[in-house]
Amino acid sequence: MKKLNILLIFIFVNLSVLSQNTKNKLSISGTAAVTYEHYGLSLNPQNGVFYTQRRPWNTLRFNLKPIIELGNLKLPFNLNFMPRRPDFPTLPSVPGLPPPNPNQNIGQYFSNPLNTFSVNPKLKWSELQLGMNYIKYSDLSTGDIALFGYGINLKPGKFRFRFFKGNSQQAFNFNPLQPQYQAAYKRKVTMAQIGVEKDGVYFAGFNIMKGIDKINSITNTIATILPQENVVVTFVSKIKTNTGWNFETELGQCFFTKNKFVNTPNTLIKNFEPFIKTNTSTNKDNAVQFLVSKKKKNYEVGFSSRWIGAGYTSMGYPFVLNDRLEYSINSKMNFWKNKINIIANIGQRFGNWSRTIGNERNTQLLANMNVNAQFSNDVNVNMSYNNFGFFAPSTLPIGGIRNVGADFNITPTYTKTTPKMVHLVSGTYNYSKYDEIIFPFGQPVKTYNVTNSVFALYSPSWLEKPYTADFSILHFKNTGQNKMIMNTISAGFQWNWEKKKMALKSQLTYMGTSLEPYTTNKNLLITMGCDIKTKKQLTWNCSVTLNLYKYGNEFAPVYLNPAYTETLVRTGLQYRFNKKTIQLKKK
Amino acid sequence: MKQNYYKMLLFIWGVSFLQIGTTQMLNTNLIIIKPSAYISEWNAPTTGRLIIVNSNTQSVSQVKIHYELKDENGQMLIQSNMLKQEDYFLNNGVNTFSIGQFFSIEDATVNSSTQKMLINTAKLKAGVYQLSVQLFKDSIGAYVPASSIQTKMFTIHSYQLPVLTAPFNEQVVNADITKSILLFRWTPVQPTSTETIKYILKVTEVLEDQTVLQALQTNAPLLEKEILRVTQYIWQPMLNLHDAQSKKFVWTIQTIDSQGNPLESVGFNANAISVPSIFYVQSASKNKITTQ
Repeated sequence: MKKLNILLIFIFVNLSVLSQNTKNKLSISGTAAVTYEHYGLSLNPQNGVFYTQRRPWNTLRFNLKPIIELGNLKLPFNLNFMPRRPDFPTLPSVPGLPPPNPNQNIGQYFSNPLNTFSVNPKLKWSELQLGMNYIKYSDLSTGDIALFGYGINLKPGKFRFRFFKGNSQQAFNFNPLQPQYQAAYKRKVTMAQIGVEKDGVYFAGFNIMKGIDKINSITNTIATILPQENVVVTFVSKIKTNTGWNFETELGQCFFTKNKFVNTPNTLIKNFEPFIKTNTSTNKDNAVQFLVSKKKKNYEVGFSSRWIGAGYTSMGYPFVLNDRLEYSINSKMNFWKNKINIIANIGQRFGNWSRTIGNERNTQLLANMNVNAQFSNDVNVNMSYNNFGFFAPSTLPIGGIRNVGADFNITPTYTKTTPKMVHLVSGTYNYSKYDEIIFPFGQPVKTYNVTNSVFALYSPSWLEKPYTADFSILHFKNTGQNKMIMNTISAGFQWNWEKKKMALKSQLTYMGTSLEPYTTNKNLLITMGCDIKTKKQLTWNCSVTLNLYKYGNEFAPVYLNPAYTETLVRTGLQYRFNKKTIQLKKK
Repeated sequence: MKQNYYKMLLFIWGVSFLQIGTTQMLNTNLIIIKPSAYISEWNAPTTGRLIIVNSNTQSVSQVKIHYELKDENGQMLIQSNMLKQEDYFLNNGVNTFSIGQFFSIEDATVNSSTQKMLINTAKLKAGVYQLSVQLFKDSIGAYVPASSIQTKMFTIHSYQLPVLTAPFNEQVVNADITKSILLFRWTPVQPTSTETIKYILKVTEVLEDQTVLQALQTNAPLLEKEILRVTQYIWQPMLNLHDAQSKKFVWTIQTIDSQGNPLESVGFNANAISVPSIFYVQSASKNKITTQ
């Protein structure tokens, strides 16, 4: 309640300042869009179980981003919502979406992750954050999650203060009739940052994030869904010098309670009051990251390192690879009057650093290099090489694995420009190799996989006529455990009809894929679309994609050469507000 | 002769006393099923239980439950401290205790490496353990054994989830090739599991104005493919990737054990979902033309 009062005082102060500073001008800019997508699928034979729906049948989405400016006050709205929940063919990859609820109240609709409703009024150095916000404070504190709530961002002089409080998860009970939806507790997250900053020169500050699941928010759950609590405190510092040096560090410590129902106090970890009281399901761990780099006109070299403890947990980053130490050296270089650009990185990662999953650490090596050479206005060559190695030793007679993946890619491009046309010819060769050695019975067993692909593209553009086209072929071959050959031929055509403010696009792709020992699969992909500017600020676009697929004999004898047809119709209207200014009151 | 007679009487009395002592030992049975790595979860029935049979003739009313947790080499990790431990009251007949009822860190002596592990992770590291339990009763100010020692072994499993390697995070791939084919690779789960591990590869499109997590939470995956053991998959997307300059996708792997449950992994990741990677699909031909 106190915090709410502070917020109301802040709004009042803002409005008071506004009433003094307003120059009696109101302006509106931004965009408004509506998109509709229809997906269709027909199988032959009908009711076959060889292919499944991969999109919702119908999706309607509104995206309104008006920006209202009133004197010094700026009100950027972000209203991205679906009036009707789509019928999901499969659930999203990450839990958190509440089950369909025809009786959801307005609060549940607004805070549903399907929708984004926010307005962040800005006045000079102050910003209010209202509604759904994705806020990043730092790499080790919080940054990935959406919060529906309220907060402020103040930047008076060198002082920095940020605060946000909101819900990151809606509560819903476990329903045995919908077991695919795990239960969820209402999760409240509060975060704050305090520090000093000179833009582009330095920053030093503390972050704190507390997340807590409300125990009473649900009545029915499953054993694996437990109410949790988390506090993360980090210290961040960044310095950039005039000579091109850049230093960044962050130190973090977390407290994480896996199960708030546990009543036994933790004698190993003291309470961190007033933020968290520990129990025997609580753990405390640390993380550190460090970066130093030097930038000059023609090069940039950096070294970065990160250690994440085995139990380091932040509700602000749901996905973290724990118990690892890693470092990498990153570089960028330009030669020959910036015509040759090289980006090269090499790094190593040690997993199971504190030996929580076994007695041996595993190592990963990641190296990649990209060279782009612009030999002339007409000739460009791009080359890249990626290498990934993974080694996990084992002290046991079984177990242990070593694998190495390497990819080489080269893409030369030639452009010939004549008074009437531009001819673009491009080719890509890709070689990818993957070796794996495992020790199932103490003896090494080696497997490998090699892919080769060749791609060629010719794209003519007529300078005096509004046409562009592209023709391409692709040959792909995979050898190893699976032998697969694929050939693709594709043609595209685009007509920019200036007079009618219309662009027509089409693409035709035919693909034949043979996977031993089956006969060839055949696929035809047809896309047609148009973009029309009906008025200066209004654009209508639509596209239709037809995917016809016929299998070989891989489903025999159940289905003999089954086939399916997928259709995808997309259409949308976009309106761009011309910045309109209205004089409210004449002086 | 008389002296021998007294010696004989003393021997018979001693044997009788020992027999009485033996008959007063309580029958116990320690059952260990599948303990969680989190000791705080050892109240769960899936951890196991301690069964004490207290017959009418024995009539032991209260005991201390002494426990020792050792690693596979016999090194002591956690040991109860009977002076701190509360008494457990027994009823006549069969008494059942969950492991979590008597196994408590707060009353125990914990060795330093285990203490560090419990502070950092709140759980035991992966490995083979042996848990021993013995009952003691108070006998005129001293604790004397009231049961034989029961020892059971169990294994704690914990895994490091796969790391996504190709396409690597923020890689830009060619739309003209990707519309036909895209290769995914990841590292195997560690350590190698003897059970059948299933990977579920999920690819989701990140729409304009969406964050990666929002897309993962709200968009249906365009690809959801179950893959047994193998750590590579060749996807034929068959998508129109030419209707925008660049499209953004996110992919991840969920690792499932042979029971169909998400694998128990290091850190807090209840659904065994690997750190997602994003990749961009760009049309080479369109980009070249627009830069003319």
